[in-house]
Amino acid sequence: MIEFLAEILSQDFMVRALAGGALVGVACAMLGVLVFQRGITFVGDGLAHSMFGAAGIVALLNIVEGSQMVLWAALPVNVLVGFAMAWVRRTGRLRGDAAIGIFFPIMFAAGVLCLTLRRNLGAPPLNMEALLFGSVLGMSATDLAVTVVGALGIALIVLTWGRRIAYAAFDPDLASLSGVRVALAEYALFGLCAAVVAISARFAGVVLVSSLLAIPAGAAALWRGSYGWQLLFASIFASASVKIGLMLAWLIDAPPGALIILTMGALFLVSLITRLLVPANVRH
Amino acid sequence: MNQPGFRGDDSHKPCAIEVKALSLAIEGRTILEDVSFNLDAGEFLCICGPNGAGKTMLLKAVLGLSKPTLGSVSLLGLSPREGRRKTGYVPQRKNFDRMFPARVVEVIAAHLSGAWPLVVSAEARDKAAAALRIVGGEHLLDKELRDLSGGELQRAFLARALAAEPELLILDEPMAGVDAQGISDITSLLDGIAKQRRLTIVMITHSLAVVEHCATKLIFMEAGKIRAFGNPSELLRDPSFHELAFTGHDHEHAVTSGKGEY
Repeated sequence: MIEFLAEILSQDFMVRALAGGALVGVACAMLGVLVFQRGITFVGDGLAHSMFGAAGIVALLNIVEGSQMVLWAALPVNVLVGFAMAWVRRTGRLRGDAAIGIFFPIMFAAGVLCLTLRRNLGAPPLNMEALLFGSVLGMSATDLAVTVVGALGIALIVLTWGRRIAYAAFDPDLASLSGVRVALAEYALFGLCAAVVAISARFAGVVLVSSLLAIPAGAAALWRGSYGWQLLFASIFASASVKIGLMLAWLIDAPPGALIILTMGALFLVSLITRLLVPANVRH
Repeated sequence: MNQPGFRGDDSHKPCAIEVKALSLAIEGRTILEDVSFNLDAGEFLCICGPNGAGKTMLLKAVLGLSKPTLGSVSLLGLSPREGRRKTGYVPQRKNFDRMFPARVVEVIAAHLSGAWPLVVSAEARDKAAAALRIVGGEHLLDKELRDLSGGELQRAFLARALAAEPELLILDEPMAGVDAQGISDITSLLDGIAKQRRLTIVMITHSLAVVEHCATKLIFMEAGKIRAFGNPSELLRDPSFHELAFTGHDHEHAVTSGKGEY
């Protein structure tokens, strides 16, 4: 076991993947708890896929070069899409995840169209597969630094200002009466989700990002823990899943993203079965 | 001379609530029409009327939770958004998310700090315990909201409203789901608080006994309008108001909850 760990840690790219992956996992999981409590779990999936459209628009405008830079430049576009989703929800005409479900295919189709137009204009091709499926092991030192700063920033916001968003998720009217600006909280939640997707997509790809937002929070919600306890549980769950998934990928030479998701799925199942065996009145 | 927060008459009592020509419509349907009244600080106002009269929407407009189509509201001499920070509110429908992991102590701590607590501080815990003690619900401190009965939920929300030591207490059918002994306890409690602390209280109720015991001012509402506003002893002489407003108990559905949208 020690030899196995030493072998993994002797590879710089694995060290970067373990460190960056764990941090991205923690940021996504913490935000996921907020999203889960707000009852809009689909937002992760929606904004992850709208990232494809955002990247397509940036690529067509040709304002930056290279697929990595396109992904970073797509961040503000995806945040704007998040704000647009929040705005449509706030008109009060659509309930639940409906606004997210509407933007998701539109942005994905926009991405396909923009990339086709870009190719027709003779621009050099972009590696958009990296966006869809991520490149966990291909993280450079610069990517890691930017990802660390972004993930830590989002985790810090969730722990501080995010407590207002949590209050608004509990009851918007009561939160408003206690001084929370609930409209701002809604826009902030969507903006943060769009940002974490944009920061993590380079590393994890849209499929893994949306699962990191949903599965750890879902596992935490199985237990009767406080909101703070759920943040801690989801963070440990995501961080452990990323590390176990990466090590399994190294061991059997398989795609790391898929193994991280399957590890989360297996841990969720363990959590669910354990929860069913524990008396319902036990609180954490 | 008129000053913000003060009536323009000779009494010079601070004005807790000032509503001027308030109208409110939702999707073309009139909910409130030309509603005006002033309430002095220290008064105990009961608002009565049949279902659909606009009582809850009037309180929501006063608190700034619903935007009026016309007219203005002054709450404790401030705008509704500013004034409501000094106001305790117990809503009729408890729209909190039942899946949210909320204990009573956390709900009260969140109200005190304006943010959901990661860990409840000792100070907030002490304040929550003190507020629960006032309403006879100290045993509820660490209970989860979703496990409470209707009466326990009302006590928890009343404690939440009192914890921040408000100048004004707004209660929308606070007796809903509470048993007879509980109604008697809460009525006595509110009456005592109003007198001891000079707290202004506004309460929607369908109980004549509560009005007779507590109210110093009374509003009868019907179809979005104020039909009468004045002293209870005078208004209650009119038998038509009895038939209109008093069913004897507040609504049981008030303790149901759902997922809030904002």
